[in-house]
Amino acid sequence: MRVLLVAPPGAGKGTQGALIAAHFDVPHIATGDLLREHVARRTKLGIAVQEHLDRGELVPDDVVLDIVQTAFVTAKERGGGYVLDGMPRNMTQARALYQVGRSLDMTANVALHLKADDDELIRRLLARAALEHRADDTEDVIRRRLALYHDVTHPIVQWYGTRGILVTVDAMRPVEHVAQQILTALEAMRPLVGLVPEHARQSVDLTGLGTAFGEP
Amino acid sequence: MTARRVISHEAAVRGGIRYFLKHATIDVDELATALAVSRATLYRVVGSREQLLGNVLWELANHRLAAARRARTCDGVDGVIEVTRLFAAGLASATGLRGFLATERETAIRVLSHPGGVVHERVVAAQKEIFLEVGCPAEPQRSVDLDNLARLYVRMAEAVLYIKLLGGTQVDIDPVENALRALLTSP
Repeated sequence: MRVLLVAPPGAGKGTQGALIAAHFDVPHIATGDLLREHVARRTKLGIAVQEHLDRGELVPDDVVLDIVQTAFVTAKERGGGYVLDGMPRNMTQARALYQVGRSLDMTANVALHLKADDDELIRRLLARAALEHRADDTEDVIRRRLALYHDVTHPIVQWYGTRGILVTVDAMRPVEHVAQQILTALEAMRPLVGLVPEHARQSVDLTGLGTAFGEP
Repeated sequence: MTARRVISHEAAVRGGIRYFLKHATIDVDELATALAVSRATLYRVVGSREQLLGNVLWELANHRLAAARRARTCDGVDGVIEVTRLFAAGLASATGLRGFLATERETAIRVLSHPGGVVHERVVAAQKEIFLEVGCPAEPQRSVDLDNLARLYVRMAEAVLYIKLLGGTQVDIDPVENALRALLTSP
């Protein structure tokens, strides 16, 4: 199973990504963690990252893509599955990532979209800010982050939809319910993803599932 | 377990400047990733988002102020006014600052003008240096408290510059020039 996560801040991407990876026994490729590890271990890619940082630059997308590509190669050796978290953040990255996946025959089977209302995300992010004593993570700042996320991510979600690999779940519910819904959907899809070509698939929207079973 | 990477305050601010110039804001999570550090590490180094924004905005302002100081052609009161005028003219091309003021007005005003804040205190200190550079006030008023004078001057200039930036109009100091001159020449 090859899954990439698309989710706003506060939707539980890290938690669900780790759960999916553990359930399917595939690597959890978190781009932020990988970047830091490469730099800390002074790998060839880590040195390239450090050179950019030493010049006062931010890590460019192509270096992050190189890091993801390296992780894909390792994942392929381990059986070919992965959960990707932290990329893509915009349409340019999404297309570049697709090319990397195609070159390795490792494109995602599922783009898992964790959907949640802004009000709930704001509540969660404000709670996290309070826990971490981040007084300046105010509602206005969070609203702006979410607005930017919606602007940039909407085209990505639409694109995965047209490719037939989009699975949307309701991330408003408690973490264990969301996890159960994700794992059930992915398990149901597992035997099919290798057999049905992308163009013959249809996106799956599970956001109404809770209501259908009488949950609020 | 993820290895921990350290980063200097200077490197974090430098990264913040790059990010701000591109996005007219700072998303701490995204900046942390782009600097290959964790969110917690970045916060530990910069203190808070607003402190980081303050340092970033000060560095950008100081860059423009330094250019204005280098381009000065007069001394005395005219020299002080000339530097402020050149600085204001340079703000026309400050698209990042304009975008930030347009989208995060309250945060921007707090970061830019809060007494005791990073930006305000450094602008006041720079203004005092400008007074000394140009020899203003002239001899008869030399006993004046330069710290207070700089603080008053900056407040008056800021008032008009920020109003014009927020209003999206051409940024200049015309409305307060006479008042600024009067402040610098008053006995």
